[in-house]
Amino acid sequence: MKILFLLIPLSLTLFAIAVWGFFWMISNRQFDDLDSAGWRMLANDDESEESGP
Amino acid sequence: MPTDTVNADGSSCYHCGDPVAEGTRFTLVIHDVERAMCCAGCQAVAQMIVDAGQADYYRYRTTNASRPDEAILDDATQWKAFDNIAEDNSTENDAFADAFAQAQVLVEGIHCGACCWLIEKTLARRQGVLTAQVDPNDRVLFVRWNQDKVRLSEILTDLVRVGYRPHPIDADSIENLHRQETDDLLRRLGVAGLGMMQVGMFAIAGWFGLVQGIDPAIDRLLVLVSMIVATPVVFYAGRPFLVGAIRSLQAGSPGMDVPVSLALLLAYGASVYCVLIGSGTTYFESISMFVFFLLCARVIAIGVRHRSTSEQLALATLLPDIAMRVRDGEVTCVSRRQIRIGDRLRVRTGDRVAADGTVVSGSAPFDEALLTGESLPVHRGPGDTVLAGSHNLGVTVEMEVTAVQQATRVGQMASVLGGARERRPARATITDRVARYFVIALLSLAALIAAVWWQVNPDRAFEIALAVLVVTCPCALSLAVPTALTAATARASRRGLLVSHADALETLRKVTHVVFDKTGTLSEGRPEITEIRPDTHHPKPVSAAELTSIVSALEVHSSHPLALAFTDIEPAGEAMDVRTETGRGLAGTLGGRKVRVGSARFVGTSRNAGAQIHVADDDGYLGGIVVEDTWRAGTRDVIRELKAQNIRTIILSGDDSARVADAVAQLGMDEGHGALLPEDKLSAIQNLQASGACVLAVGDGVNDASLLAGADVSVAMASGADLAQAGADIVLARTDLSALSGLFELGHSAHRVVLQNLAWAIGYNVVAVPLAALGLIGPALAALGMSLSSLVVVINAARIDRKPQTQPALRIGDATA
Repeated sequence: MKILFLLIPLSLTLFAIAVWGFFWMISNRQFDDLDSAGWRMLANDDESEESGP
Repeated sequence: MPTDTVNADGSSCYHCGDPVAEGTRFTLVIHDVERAMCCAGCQAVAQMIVDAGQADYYRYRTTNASRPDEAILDDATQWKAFDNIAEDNSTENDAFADAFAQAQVLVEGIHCGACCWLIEKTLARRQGVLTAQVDPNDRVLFVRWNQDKVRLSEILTDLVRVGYRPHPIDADSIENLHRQETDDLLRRLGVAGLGMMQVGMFAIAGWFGLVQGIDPAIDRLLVLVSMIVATPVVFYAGRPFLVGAIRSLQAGSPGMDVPVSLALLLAYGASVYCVLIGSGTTYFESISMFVFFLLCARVIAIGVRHRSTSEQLALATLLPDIAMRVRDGEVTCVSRRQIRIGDRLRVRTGDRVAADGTVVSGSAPFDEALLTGESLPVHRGPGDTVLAGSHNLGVTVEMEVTAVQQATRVGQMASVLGGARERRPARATITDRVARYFVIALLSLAALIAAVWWQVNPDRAFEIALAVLVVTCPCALSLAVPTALTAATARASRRGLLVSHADALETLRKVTHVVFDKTGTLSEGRPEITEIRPDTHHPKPVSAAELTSIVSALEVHSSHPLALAFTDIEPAGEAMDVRTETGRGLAGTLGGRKVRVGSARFVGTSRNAGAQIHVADDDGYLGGIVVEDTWRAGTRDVIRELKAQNIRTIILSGDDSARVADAVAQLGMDEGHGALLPEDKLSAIQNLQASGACVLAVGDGVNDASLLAGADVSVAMASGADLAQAGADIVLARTDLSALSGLFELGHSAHRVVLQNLAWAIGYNVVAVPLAALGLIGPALAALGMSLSSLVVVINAARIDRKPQTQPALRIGDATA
């Protein structure tokens, strides 16, 4: 079980990476608009309408 | 494929949802069906949308569009004033300074996601626009464009043409502050959430170790790593609470942040102490969870608050964006932001004043109803003060600016209203009372127990005092109220009620009186003709249609609210020499006959007592017309339900007393008072409060703002003035009043859950404290108990949001009034 002495501190790095990733997402405005993505995919673009059957 | 769900029936305008008057023939083919439109403006906007290939907007929208303001449509050239500002802004720290510019534009009239989609699509079609992104919460459009190909004024004109009203804003605006605030909280929430998961994982490993046995070295490592993770959770994620506690202590009124911080620091301190001495139990997982839950509540609350109207938007909609500046005899069109104190402005007929100032030349009547509630125009000559937001009803005048933007009277009103609830009767919240006494009691108890144990067995005194503090840690207690209120807030917003001040929910169940404004709140604010009674005694009697067209010809010249009922009726001809006798009626010449339209006394008749509008010509009385306000959907239901709950319903209105009495009788309400100024409304509420009543006020207009600020709980209509919404506790986002009765039910269930949570938290302490004081509770049990009691509180609060709804939730198509 000696490997735990490496793995447990290693999990700290994962924590740090996750926090960094979350901060990065916020500064990239990923959470600004959580609503519109839902209807954006419903709305057909003109182009795709033409190419459709 | 989704189908059109809003306004498909033809009786209301397909674009804006307003009723279509009989005989109007504005139509447009959308999605292969001929749709009715209420006016040329709506038709033009809808045509523009269809021509641009964006007809799908009508499929995806969930709310009606705004009725376009034709005056703005006509005057699209005015946006040119913004071109030079945009160019100024673009030159700084922009790598592509030569060609590219960007701006943020506050957009009035955004109702739902489909609006954002429509705006983005429309702008994307314009050559030279690089990015166009709308934030539906802040209603801010972020746009980047190539200055060589397109100008800001053209972009703004596009917005106007699809029916939205743009207000370019400063980069350091309130919306940006909101964003920073939200981002900051989200970062903290992320740290707390990730930390909670990480530490929780280690804690579970530790608990397994207790049962199965664990290598002490690994156990110590787990605890050490937990401490490393929990430290940023406490001091970074938990910082708002620590700072809040220090602030409230400095202010001399300890709030809920104090026990929260105390719990955090005590549990954290005790745990660190245990790590240092290498024995004892740590509470890092409980602390992380605690911070995470508290932050969740705060993030939801702030999200709702920001969604309701900001002061900036309130100001933007009351003041014009453009003003005419006179400098060295030359008149230039400038934006409101460019106006400086000492500037000379020209205010043309019909213009709204952009800044406070003094009249320099000319004199004219100004309509200040918006600011003072005074419905009659006030005459302003040289040396007199004119207020920003007032309307010039006379000839062109010139003024010198004395105050701009936030410093103007209306700007001050907006910011004062933001803080208006500070002045209202203090809401004695359960939270505050409990927090103050419980913490003091707890600390004295711990000290007492430590003192007793010091006498009995000094070795165990510290350990036991610590156990008492940790077991009783006010986590569950401090979570009890905010979690219940947050869950209630979340549920309310799904029903179309935006709660910006959650503590209002606690006050709801004490409400004894509900005060309504009449026009715009109970009624739609658009009167309708319900009965036409031509008089047969007249030598040359007229038909019903002729009678209305005569009135229409004169009312064209009137700004009286009743005149609105006649806007869709073809006038009988051009009325000449029309005089307005304020409060009485109109007189003029129509087709060679002298005609009088107005009150019974003005016309000189005693017939048709029920009618509001009477008509007479030289030969005698022609007839009367009954005009009634149309009640908002759900009004009668709400009144009935309030009565069933023994709540008195009262109308306080600026409208004529007789009409108010009429409304009271029609709706079966308890009381009604008319002809009130805003101050009178406020003092009426204060009188009620003095006699022990708890008052909920519902209003919509700027003149209701003081009413809303004075009430114990205030509800503003989303369709009303932004200034009223800025000061209100709750904004009713639906056109239907019936959401209001759900509000009371919600208040009751929130209160029930608050009581249950408090009972649980206190009951838990009553059992646990004596056991801990006797030294019977083991360290592991204490930690588990602390986490579990908090979890029970959170889960119990979540029940509010899950209860079966007695009312249908907001559906697509509900907005059709």
